Amino acid sequence: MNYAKREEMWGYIFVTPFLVLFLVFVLVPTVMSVVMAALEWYDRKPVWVGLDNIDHVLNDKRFWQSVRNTLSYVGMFTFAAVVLALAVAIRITKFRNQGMRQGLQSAFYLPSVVSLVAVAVVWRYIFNNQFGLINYLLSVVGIDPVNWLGNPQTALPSLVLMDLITGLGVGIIIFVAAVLGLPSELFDAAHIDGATGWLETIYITIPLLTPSILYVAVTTMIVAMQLFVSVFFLTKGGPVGSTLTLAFLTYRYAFVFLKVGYASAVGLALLLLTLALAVVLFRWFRSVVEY
Amino acid sequence: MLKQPTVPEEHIPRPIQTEGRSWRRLREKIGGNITLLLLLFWALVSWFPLYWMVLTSFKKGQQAQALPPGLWLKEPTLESYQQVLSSTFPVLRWLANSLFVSVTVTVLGLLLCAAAGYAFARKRFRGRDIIFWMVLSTMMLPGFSRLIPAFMLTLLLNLHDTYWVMILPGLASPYAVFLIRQFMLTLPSELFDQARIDGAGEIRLWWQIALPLTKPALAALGTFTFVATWNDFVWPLAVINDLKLMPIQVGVTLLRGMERTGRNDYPIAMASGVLMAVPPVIIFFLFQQYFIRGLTIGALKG
Repeated sequence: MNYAKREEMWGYIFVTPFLVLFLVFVLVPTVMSVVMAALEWYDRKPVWVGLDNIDHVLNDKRFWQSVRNTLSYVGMFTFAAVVLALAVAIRITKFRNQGMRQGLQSAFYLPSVVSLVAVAVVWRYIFNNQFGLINYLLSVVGIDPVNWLGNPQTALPSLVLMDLITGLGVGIIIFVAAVLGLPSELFDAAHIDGATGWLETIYITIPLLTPSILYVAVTTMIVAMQLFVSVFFLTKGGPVGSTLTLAFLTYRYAFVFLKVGYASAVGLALLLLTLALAVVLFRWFRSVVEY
Repeated sequence: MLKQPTVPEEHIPRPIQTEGRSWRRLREKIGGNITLLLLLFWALVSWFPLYWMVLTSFKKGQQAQALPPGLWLKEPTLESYQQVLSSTFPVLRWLANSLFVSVTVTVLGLLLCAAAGYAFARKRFRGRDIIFWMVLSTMMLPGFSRLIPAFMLTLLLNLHDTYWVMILPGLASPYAVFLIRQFMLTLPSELFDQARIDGAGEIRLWWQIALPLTKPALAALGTFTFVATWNDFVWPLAVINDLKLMPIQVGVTLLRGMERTGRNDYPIAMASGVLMAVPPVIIFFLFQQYFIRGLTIGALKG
């Protein structure tokens, strides 16, 4: 066997174990997610129903409500998370001491390590109507208690707040590394031109960070599109469907109502919507980067 | 650094500018302190829920509803931990299940993904780039849309209510392969050529040269995989119904205090929260510097 052949053989040997599992648990389910929207299951046996599921989904008020809720959650969360993480990260990079910077990065990341299940349960306590901490603090200042999770107006924003407080870690770490990786000549040049502080941040740091901002925005968006755990533990989609999300709807139809075909159609919508948003973000950022 | 002018203040020709400069410096100093305060405030806010969880877990049932809520610990009690651990549910078994699954996925997953990443980075074979592109493109898809297909698939394969169903899907991580490939691309080829001349076989090249040099990425990914697997909730919730096989994340949903029922149960819920939060936090503290570096490899080199 010649060298190139041997090389090729070893390439396949190294890649095959991964590839088999990747095919079975990632690629096949991805393809199936499209096909399964056209199937309904009766006693573990699939029946082809064509566009029936999709038709049902498109005519379902709950579906459109979930789309609206998911998009508004994703919009609020992604925007706020990127802005806050960026602000925190830029402030962290102002510290000259490397140990200090790393300590702060770790400190901000730690809450993201704790499982969402545990976090959700704490927040149910904090949001509690009668003896929750937030309402207590409001009562100290003389504001009437708010039924955070029980009011259709405040339930979704409450989930955004909760996820913002725990979910900034990754963004902060990436932004800190990105800022520290920027070429220092640009900052020297800016100093000579008289740019300092805020000016420097707005006109130099942030424009140079656009690739990292895009990366964080897209990954944050993908995670946010799949909002499930906090809905599952805090609101169960309520009150009056104000926190129904596509992921929660998918889960409920598949595993509570056992309408697998319908749930698959909702899952497919989640997939397509995520891709569409990713394309929008890429386009939008590209138009910003090209001066 | 520019040398500061030694001319006395009043001799500088344009006094407006000096005024502007010192005003700016003052503003920067104040601004810096304000943003520092905001930073500390945000750190405090993001840690607070964890503090609150730990604190409440040491309270007695009624104390958790006291108004004003006690922000410090008075008369700590282990009562709720005792109640969680002595409940009729196999809580310790759940913790052991989580540990077993997380460790297995971490070790086997790293091996598999390191092998694949090595092949993508350092071997030439037909279809390599197409396969790699395919692996990469799945990173852009929400995993949740695969939940039902993967559920049906594993149901048809009769894998539900086994450890396999929790382990196998977690092994093939496109993100891990991508990260390891990026890292291995940067290794100098001379090292491999030299070892080959010295008669090292292909497996040894991978195990003794490529892997040790990829340690930072592997440590980061290992931490990441462990934490993600330990915290995984939706998948085991869907595929595990057997009480004895449940991971802690799913098991706790059955415990008292997790559902919105009784009012006295918050300390119990918080104690379960602490129990499931401790292992990932320990792992994070042990490997934090790798973790932070690893997270940025993918983002900055991609």
